[in-house]
Amino acid sequence: MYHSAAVLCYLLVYVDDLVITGNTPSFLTHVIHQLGIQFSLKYLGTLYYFLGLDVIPTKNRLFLLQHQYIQDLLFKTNMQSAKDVSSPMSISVQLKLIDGTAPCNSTEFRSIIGGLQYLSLTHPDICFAVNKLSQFMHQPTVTHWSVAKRLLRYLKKTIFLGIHINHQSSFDVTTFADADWAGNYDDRTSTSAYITFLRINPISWSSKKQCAVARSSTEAEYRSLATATSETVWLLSLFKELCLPIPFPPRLLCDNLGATHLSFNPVQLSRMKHIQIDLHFVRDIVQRKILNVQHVNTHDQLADFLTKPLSSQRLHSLLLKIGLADGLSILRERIKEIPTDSTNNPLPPAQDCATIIQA
Amino acid sequence: MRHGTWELVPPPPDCQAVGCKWVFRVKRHPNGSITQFKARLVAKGYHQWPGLDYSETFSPVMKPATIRTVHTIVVMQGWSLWQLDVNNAFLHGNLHETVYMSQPLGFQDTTTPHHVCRLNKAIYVLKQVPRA
Repeated sequence: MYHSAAVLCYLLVYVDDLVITGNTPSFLTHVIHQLGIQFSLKYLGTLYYFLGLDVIPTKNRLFLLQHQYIQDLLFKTNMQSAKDVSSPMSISVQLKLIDGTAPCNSTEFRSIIGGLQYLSLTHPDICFAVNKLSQFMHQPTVTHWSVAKRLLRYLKKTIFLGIHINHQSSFDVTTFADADWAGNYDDRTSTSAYITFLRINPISWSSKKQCAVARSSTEAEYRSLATATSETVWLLSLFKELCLPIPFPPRLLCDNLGATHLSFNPVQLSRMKHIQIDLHFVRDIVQRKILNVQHVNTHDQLADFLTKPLSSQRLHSLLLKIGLADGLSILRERIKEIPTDSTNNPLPPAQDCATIIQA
Repeated sequence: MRHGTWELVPPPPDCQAVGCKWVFRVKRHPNGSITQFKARLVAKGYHQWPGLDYSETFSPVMKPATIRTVHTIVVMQGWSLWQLDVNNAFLHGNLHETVYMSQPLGFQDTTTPHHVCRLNKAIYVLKQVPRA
């Protein structure tokens, strides 16, 4: 990251892949030129494919999807011609570690789950299912295998699903925190989840099994609130580093009234004695006015799909709300646009910039 | 050798040289025709001892949330995104530890066959490479 009076430049580095952006194109060409002197670089032009991530620019917007990666994964698992399903996980299935079915090939299972984990870059919808399946990586059975296959069939249906990043003028941050109380059938631990938005664009999410058993739903929700708080505080430090001003403290939304009230009322409840670290951590952040904890109706809770399997109807209405879109129409429009682009600008962008660098 | 990756030295008495081998790959076009033959010299990283040949293996990479955040900022500010790729990225890294490697097969120096290569630059599969 480089920052001076008016010039702002970000350089993302992933081992040998670099992405550069900033507000002053002339400065960027200068940086690329200087880097080219130090290392032997290949200039690839406008970003379109980065770490298995397809980046498609649309009018004022950007569409992120991993359809190439999903296609490779389906090819690897021989699932290209499988039947589609419309939800990643069935509501009725109860996954347990030992369920009486025969064990299956754990090496292949692990390799598929590993491949699925990388998909969480653009697919918050499968985050819960992948996390759930990861809990059986050491001892998968036939049931777990069939759930993994169903997930691949869902991916086949939603291969063009991706994040549509919208143009917005203000930068306010909202985090939804949710928990599913005692949702794990093996040890009765809960699942905590959060999703963070920059205005309306989702930037960070997680679904995770809690490490201790919660005795009440408030306790489970409060733990997820603490996890969401630490992530939001980290994001705030990231925004600060990126010189992005956040106008007012981020909102942290939780659908449990008890947990919401506990975060700012200095009461000591005998039932909450054992989670004092989480309790004081969130309270401290709220008291210093870094965050604002608010209550949200369960119906408007956008992190719901990260804690439990949902019906396809409910899932799709939530996915629409969090800014996921089916990219098929976007890709079609893009294909139509390309010929008009090339007539206006005979030089492909890569060569265009190479000439700037040489000049 | 040409890139200053290593220099030939007589083996020091307490030296444990890391083995190496050539890895050959054929790159093909989608239609099956051959694009290029690639040969890559890799070190046998599993010969290395922690504390002696390497200390830190952590390599800094970004979190997925950072990627999405930067993309979001780019859209909101209307900037453009450009992509670069470093050729032979791993061979650019300088090594902080002294690592000795036996001479590569087929390229031994006939006058000094018992010498070992003292590495100046990182080469593939050394433990500390992604960090360099």
